[in-house]
Amino acid sequence: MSFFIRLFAVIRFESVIHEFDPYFNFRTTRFLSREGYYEFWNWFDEGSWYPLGRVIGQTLYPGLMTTSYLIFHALHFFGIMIDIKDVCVFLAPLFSGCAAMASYLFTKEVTGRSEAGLLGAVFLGIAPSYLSRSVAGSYDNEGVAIFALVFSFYVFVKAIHTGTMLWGMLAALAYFYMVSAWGGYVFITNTVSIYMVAMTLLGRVTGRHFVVFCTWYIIGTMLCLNIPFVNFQAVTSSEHMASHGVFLMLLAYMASQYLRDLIPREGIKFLVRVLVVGVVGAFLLLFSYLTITGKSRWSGRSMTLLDPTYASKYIPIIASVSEHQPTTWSAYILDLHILILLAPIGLLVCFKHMTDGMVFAGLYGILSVYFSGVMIRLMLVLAPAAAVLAAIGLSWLLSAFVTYAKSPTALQKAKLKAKGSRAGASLSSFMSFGEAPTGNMSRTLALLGLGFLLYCTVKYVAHCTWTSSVAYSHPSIVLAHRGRDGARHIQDDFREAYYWLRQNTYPRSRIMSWWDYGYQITTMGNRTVLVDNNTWNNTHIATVGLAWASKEEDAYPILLKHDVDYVLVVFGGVARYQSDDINKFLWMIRIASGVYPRVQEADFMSPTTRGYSVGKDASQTMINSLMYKCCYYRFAEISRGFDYARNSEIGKKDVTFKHLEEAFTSQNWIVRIYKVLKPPNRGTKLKSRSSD
Amino acid sequence: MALFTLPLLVAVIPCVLCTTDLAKAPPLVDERIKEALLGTSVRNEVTAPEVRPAVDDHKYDNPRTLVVLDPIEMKDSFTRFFKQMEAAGHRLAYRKVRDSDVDKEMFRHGERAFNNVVLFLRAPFPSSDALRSLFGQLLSFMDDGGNLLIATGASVQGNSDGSGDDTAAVASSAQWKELRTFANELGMDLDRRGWVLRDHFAFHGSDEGQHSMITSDKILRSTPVVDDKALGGPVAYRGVGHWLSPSNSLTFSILRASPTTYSAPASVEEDAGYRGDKQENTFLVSAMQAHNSARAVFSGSLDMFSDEFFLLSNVSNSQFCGQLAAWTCHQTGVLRSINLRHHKYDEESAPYMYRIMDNITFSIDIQEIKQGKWVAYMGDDVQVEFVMLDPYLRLFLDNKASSGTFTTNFKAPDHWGVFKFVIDHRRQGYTFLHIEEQAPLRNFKHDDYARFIWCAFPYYGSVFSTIAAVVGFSFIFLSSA
Repeated sequence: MSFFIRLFAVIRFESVIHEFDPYFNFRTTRFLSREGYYEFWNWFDEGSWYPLGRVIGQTLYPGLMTTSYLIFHALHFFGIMIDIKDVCVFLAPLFSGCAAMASYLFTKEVTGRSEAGLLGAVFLGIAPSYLSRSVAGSYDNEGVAIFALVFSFYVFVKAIHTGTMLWGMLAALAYFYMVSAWGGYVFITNTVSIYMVAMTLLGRVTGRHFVVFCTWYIIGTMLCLNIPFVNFQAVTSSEHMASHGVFLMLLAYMASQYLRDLIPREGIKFLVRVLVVGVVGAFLLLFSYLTITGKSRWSGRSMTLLDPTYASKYIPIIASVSEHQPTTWSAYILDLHILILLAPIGLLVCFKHMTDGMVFAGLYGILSVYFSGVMIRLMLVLAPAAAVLAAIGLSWLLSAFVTYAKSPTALQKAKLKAKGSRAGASLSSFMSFGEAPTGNMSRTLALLGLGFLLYCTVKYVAHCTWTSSVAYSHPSIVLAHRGRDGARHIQDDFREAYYWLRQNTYPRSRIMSWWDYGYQITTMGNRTVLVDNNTWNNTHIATVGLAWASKEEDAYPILLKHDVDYVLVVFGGVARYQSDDINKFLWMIRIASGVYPRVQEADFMSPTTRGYSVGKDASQTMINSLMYKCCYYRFAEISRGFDYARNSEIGKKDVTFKHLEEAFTSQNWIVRIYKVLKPPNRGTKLKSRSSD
Repeated sequence: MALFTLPLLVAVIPCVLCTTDLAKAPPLVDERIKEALLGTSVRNEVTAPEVRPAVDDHKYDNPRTLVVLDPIEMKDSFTRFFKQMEAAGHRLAYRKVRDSDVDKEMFRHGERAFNNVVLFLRAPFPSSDALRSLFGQLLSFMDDGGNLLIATGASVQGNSDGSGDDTAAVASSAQWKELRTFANELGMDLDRRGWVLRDHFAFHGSDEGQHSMITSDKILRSTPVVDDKALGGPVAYRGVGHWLSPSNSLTFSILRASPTTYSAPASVEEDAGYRGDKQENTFLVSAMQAHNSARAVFSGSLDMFSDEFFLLSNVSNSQFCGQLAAWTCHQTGVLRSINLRHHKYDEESAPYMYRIMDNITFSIDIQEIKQGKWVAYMGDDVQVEFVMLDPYLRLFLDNKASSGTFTTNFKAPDHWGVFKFVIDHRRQGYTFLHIEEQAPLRNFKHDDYARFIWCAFPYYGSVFSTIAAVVGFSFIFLSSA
C-alpha cells in the first residue's frame, strides 16, 4: 500500500525524476551502471563546477546508487530487462515499503506488541512528511535513508535486548548502510550516545548495554572510515565526539563496576566518582581544546541545528535553501496530521514504562522533535519517530478502551492481568472528560472513544492519500496549474530548454546558471555547468552571484574568465512561476556579498520604499544587473511590461545587450538562454578628436 | 484495518491499471519540443561549426582580390603596383565604387567571395551614402576574415608643380565624416579635412614648391610586415596624416612621419606665419590586425602607390608597397599550428584524463608561410600556459633543432581541476595564435596510492600483535580451564 500511494506522481505526470538532487543521483547511478564500481568510486567529473571539477566518487554517499545498481543487476540476472531510470524512479516507493516493515519490527521490538507494530507500519508507510520525500521519481538519499534509520534502530534495540555481540555487530552493519546512504547518520550516532548517557544516569546500564555499545561503536566507526566521503571525519569531527566520549565513559563506568567487587565498600564511592568525573572531565577538556584550535570542527549544517540563528548570520548559502528554514506549525499538521496528537501519548507511555526499548523510542522522539523544529527538512527524521510513538500511544489507548468495552467493570481485572495496560488505563481515565480517575467507564463512552479514534485514523489515511496525490507529487520540473477555465495546463519549459541545450549547443559548452539548476543541466542537458546543487565551494557560487548582480560590462570579464558560452535564467514573469531567479536574486546578492563586499544588498533595494522591487521604483543597480536584463529582455513585447509573478509593472522596458545575445526562450518564457558573444573583433572604436 | 484500507484501495486500483504502460511509454513531450524547435526558429539559434569558405582554398598562393576604384580609369595610374600584385599571384577584379553591385559582389550567397579588397579613393569622392554603405560592407568583410588595403588622400594628378590640391577635389564635410568614422572603426583618427602634411626638411627633391611630397624612413623594424633592411631608401608620401588610438592594442603603425613634418591646410599657399599643427606622432601608414587575424592597412596617401612615385629616384616606394600588399593579403607573417600533442612523459598518446603531479609532455608544430609554402616557424619565445582560472604554469616551448616542433616537459600541479593548455602567441606582424586544449587533472585514484607506506609500520605491527595476543590469550585461557 505504501508503494502504491506513491505512484500518483507517475500517473499524474509521467515517469520522470523529480526535483533537483535526484537528477544528480540519477546521473551518478547511470554512470555506475555503465562504468562499474571502481570507475564510480574514482570518478572525477569535469562536467560540473567548471573549471574546478568535482571528485564525485569521494564526495557523495554511495548507498543509494549502489542499492539501485544492485537491484538493476539482480533484475537483469533474472532476465527482467528494465531501464536504470525506472529502477531509480520506483526505488523510493519500494524502500518505503521496506521502511514500513522496519517500523513494524522496531515498534514490536520496543513494545513487544505486534498490534502496535502494525500501527507503526501503517503510520510510517503513509506519513505525509515521509511521502513527500519518497514519491515515485523522488530519487533521493532520504528515501533509502529512512528505511536504514528505522532498521538500524530496530537492530540496535534488538541487540540491547539480547545483549549479544552478534546483534551488536549487525547493528553496526545496519548503521554502516545508513552511513553510506545519508549524511543524517550522525543522528543515529548521537541518539545512541545520548541513550547510553541517559541509561548511565538512570543507573540502568548492564553488561548487555556495554557489550552492544562497544561492539557497535568500534565496528561502526571503523566502517565509517571506509566511506570515502566520511573518511577521517568519523574520528575528528565534532559530530562524532559524543560517541567517543560515551565509549570512554562506559569503559570507566564498567571498570568501576568491576572494581566494586574487588575493593571494599568505603573506597568504592570515591573511586567511582573520581573515575567517571575524571574521564568525562578529561574528555570535555580535550574536546574544547580541539574545538578551539580548530582541529575538530562542526559542519555548518550541524551548527545551524545547534544554533538556529547561525546560518542566517554566517552562511547565507545554507539559509537560502528553502528546506533549511525553520518548520512552521502548519507544516506539522500537514505532514503528521493525527500523529502529532498521538505521539505525546506514546511518549508518556514510554516514560511510564521504562524498559530499555521504550526509553530509546522516547529519546528518539524528543531529539527528532527538536531537530525537526529547526529545519523543515528534518521533519523526515521526525516522521518515523512520530509514527512509532503514535503507534504505541494508539495501541495503548485502544487496548484500554477495548478492555472497557468488553466489560464495564474490567478495570480491576485488567490491572491484574496485564501490567502493561496499567498506564493505558490511567491514561484513558485521564482522557475521559473529567470522570473520576478510578471510576468505571460506561461501555457507550468507551465505544464512543473507540469510534472517535477509528474516525481519526480513517481521516488520517484519507489525508495521506490526498497529500500524496495533490501536494507532494509535483515533480517541480514539470509544472501544472489550473487555468481560468479549470483545465489543467502542463508547463514543460524546463525539459524543453534542456532538450534545446542538448541538441543545439557545442558539447563542451559551459553554461552559467544559478546553482539550483546545475544538476538538471548536467543530467538532462549534458552540458558543463559552473555551479550546481552540491554547494561545496562558497567562493565559486559567490562569483556566479557576483556575475548576476553586476552590470553587464562588469559581468562580461567574469563570464570570459570562466569560459562561459551560455547563461541561463529562470523567469516566471509570464508563467506566474513564483520560484524564479528574480525571487532568488536576493540570496544571490547575499551570498555574493559574503565574498565580494562591493556587492551590497542595500544597493538593490528600492530607493523610495526600501523594499525589494523590480517595478518603477527599482534602484539603478537592480535595473542594470545582468539578472534583471536577462529576465526582462524583450519582455515588454509580449506583456507590456507587466510581471505576473510579482504583480508589478517593470521599471525598465527597453533592455539592450552588448555582450550577450538571446539564444532561446522556452514556450512560457520560464527558461531563457543567452549566448555570450566573443569580444568585438576590431577592439574598441576610437572617438575622434577633431570634428572637421 | 480493513476500514483503513478501504479508501486507499479505491485510489489504488486505477493506479495499478495505468502505471505499467505509462511508465514505459516514451515521453510525449519530446515530440512537442521538436515541433516547437522546427516551427518557431525565430528565437532559436543553431551554432554550427564554422565552415571555411571555399574562396580560402587558394588564400596564400592565388588569392582573389577585388580592387575598388573610382573612376575605373584611375587604375592606369597604378599599373606598376597592380602588376606587382599580379606577379604575387593575385587574381584581380576591378570595380567602380558607384557600381551598385560592388557591395553585393563582396559576398556571394552569404559567403565571402574575395580574400582581399584594395580600395583606392580620391577626390572627387562618391556620395556620402555610397561611402557609408561601402564602408559598412568592408567592415563586415573584415569581420568575416577578409583583408583590406585602403589608400586615400590627395589627388594623383596635377599638383606636382606644387600648386596644392584644387579646391574642387577636396572632399565635402559629409564625405570626410564617413571616411573618418570608418577610420575610427579601425582604431585610427584622420587629420582635418583638406589638410595635408608638409615638411621643409624631409621632402623629395622633385618637390620644390609646397614641400608636400615628404619622405620618411621611419619604418616599423624587425617584423615580417616590411623588411626594412632590404629597402633602398625612404618612402615618398603625399597626403594626410592620422593618429592611432592608444587604447586599441590591435592597431599599430608601419610608417611614421619624421619629426619635422607638420600639417597645414592645403589651401594655404605659403605657410610662413602659419603655426603648424605639429603633432608628436604623425602616422602615415598604419595597420589593424583584428582578433580574427584579418588585416586592414590604411595609408593617407594614394600617390604612394602610383607609378609616378614608383619611378622617383632615391625612394623605395616600389618595394615598400609590394611588401605592404603581400603582408596585408596574408602572404607573409601568417602562422599556423598543427599536430598538437600531449601525453604523459613515458607514453605515446593522450590519456582520458591526467592525474595530479603527472609528468606531461606537450608539443605543437608551428609553421609560417613563406613564398606560398609552409615552413618551420623560427620564433624562440612561444609559451604555453597551464590554466585553471589563472595560469598555474607558464613555460617557454623549446623549438627543437629549429624544426618548428615546439616541446616542453613539465610536472602537473598538485591541484585537481579542469585545466587547459593555452597558447596565446601574439607578435607584431604575425597572425594571432590562440589555442586552447582542455586537459582535466584528476585526483589520485584509490589504487594510485602506495599500498604499504613506511610510516604506517607501527599500525601494521599493532594489528599483528593484537591478533597474536588474542590467539595466545585464547590458547592459555582454554588450556588453563
